[in-house]
Amino acid sequence: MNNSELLQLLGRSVITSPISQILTDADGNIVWMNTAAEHLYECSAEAMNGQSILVFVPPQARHENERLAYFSVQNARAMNTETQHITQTGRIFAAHVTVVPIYDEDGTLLAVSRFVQDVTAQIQVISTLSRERDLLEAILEASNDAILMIDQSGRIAAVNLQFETVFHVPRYYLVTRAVPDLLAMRETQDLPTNLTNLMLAYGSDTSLSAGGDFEHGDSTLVWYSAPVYTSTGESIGRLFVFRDATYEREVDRMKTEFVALVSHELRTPLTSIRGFTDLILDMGDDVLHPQVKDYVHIVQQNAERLTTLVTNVLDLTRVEAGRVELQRHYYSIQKLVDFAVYSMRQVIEARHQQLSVTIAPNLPELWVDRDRIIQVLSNLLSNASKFTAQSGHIQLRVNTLGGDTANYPVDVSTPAILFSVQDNGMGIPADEQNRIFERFYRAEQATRQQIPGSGLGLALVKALVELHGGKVWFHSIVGQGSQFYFTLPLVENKA
Amino acid sequence: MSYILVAEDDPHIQLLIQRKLEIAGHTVKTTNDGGVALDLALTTNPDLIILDIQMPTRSGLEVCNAIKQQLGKKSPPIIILSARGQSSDVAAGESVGADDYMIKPFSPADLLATINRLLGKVSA
Repeated sequence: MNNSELLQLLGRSVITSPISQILTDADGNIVWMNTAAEHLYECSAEAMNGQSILVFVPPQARHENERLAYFSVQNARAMNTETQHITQTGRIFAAHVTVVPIYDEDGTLLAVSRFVQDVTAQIQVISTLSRERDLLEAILEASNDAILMIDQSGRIAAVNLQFETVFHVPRYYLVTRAVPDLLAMRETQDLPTNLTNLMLAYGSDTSLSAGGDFEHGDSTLVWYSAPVYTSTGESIGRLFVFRDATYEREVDRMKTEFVALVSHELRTPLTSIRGFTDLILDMGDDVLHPQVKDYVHIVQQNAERLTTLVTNVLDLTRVEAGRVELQRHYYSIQKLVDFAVYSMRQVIEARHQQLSVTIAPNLPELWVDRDRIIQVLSNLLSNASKFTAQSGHIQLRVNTLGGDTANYPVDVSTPAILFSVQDNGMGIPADEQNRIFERFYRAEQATRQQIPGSGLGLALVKALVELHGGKVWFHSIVGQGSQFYFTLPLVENKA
Repeated sequence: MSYILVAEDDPHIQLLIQRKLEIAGHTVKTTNDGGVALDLALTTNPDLIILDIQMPTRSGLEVCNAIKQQLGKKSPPIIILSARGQSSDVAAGESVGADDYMIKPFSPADLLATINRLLGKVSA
């Protein structure tokens, strides 16, 4: 290729280049623009010929444009900046401008070449991102929860203001430090082991969320941790959130104490009401007018109801507050069942219902609080009786968990005894099934048919069984009946 | 018939127990004060004592403990009454040597049955 061919090729390459290029003389007057520049500035090169380059510069950007050209020429090298330019139709855009001075062999300035890119779109993306980052940061800072983010390499990626406040550790110290540095600090010595283990397990596949609470100084902190993934599913670390639950816990404790106190205080007047109605009814028909006797009976029945209610509220409150200590001993299943059946026999017989009890042979003894398990069985038998028509059939079965019962929603690998109480009563509608263990929840039919009860029985059953390490569940079909199950784990009798 | 000492600071429950026991033919002496109950227990030789836990000057548990300490095997049977139903309270009653424990609200008939059992009699 000869020189003239090469020059022609260079010319074509500059003219068709997608990067806008403007050439001015040494005085800054336009001598040439390529096609891309014509498009960008919305004008023709011919029309612009001889005009000052400043026609492409809005007044507010004039100074920085002149400065760029001045320094570039002074230093005899290409320089660039981000500034604003304006098109011939008046559109102002963000321009990335590179100024290249061109000299002859003696060092005399011949021309200045400018390469210009419209970077408005990029600038917008960056400013949107930075706004979003500012927003997220502001949200983190405003949070009342202390937040800690640990990345995949076990370094502290972020902590918020509240974390600083709660743990009295300055952020500038923490960020980018490794987890062991954080755990070595005096301020983190009271973190529970399951929490610190999770913090140290960074990067490994601990996909589970976890949480708990612990005492930190005078506060109770509730913590929660979850793995963090990007929108494309890439694991980027683990988030730890700490919430100060001191006040909540205190309120909860006061509530529990209040309920316990009220229930307790109700017992003394209840003793009088029940006692004196008994004394009245003892008086004999020669003294008692039949109507008085009827009315006192009603008082007596309601005093019984109130007693049950008070006892259940108190029991439930204690169990939920973790204040029930089980008095566990080994008891034979037959004995426990006998006690429960004995306490419920009158109720069941009064409704002419048939109760059948099947206990598998050779079952081991259970390590339980006898009174509590009798309470569980009695509550389930009482419900079965109440929600089953007169002359209905109730079945109580006891067996080991496993075998053909393996499809039950419990871990059958742990040895346990399975109790079930089945009735052929009204059943529980599907839309009420997930609510029946709630405190004070009563089935719609129970209210409509005025079946007595407080809505505490099943809540108490669940709490007491779980306190023993067991599980409660049920199957029910409307019109066919319900079957309640609960398990009690087997604990080897070493005595 | 037997002489029974009843220490209970709620006047209505005191009257309830007194009436139930008198109807059953027992002689009853009542007090609402723990200290007085201890004096009467040691000086009037009751056949059986019923003690509420919460009372002025001395609690039923203290009184029970003092009687059992001082009279030993010659102590009459003691029934503790409590509005607390927790197993730990029952255990506290047992630890001071109480012979039985009744949780409020109890029925007068149950109380009488317990008294008769402790006095070695057939239930009325």
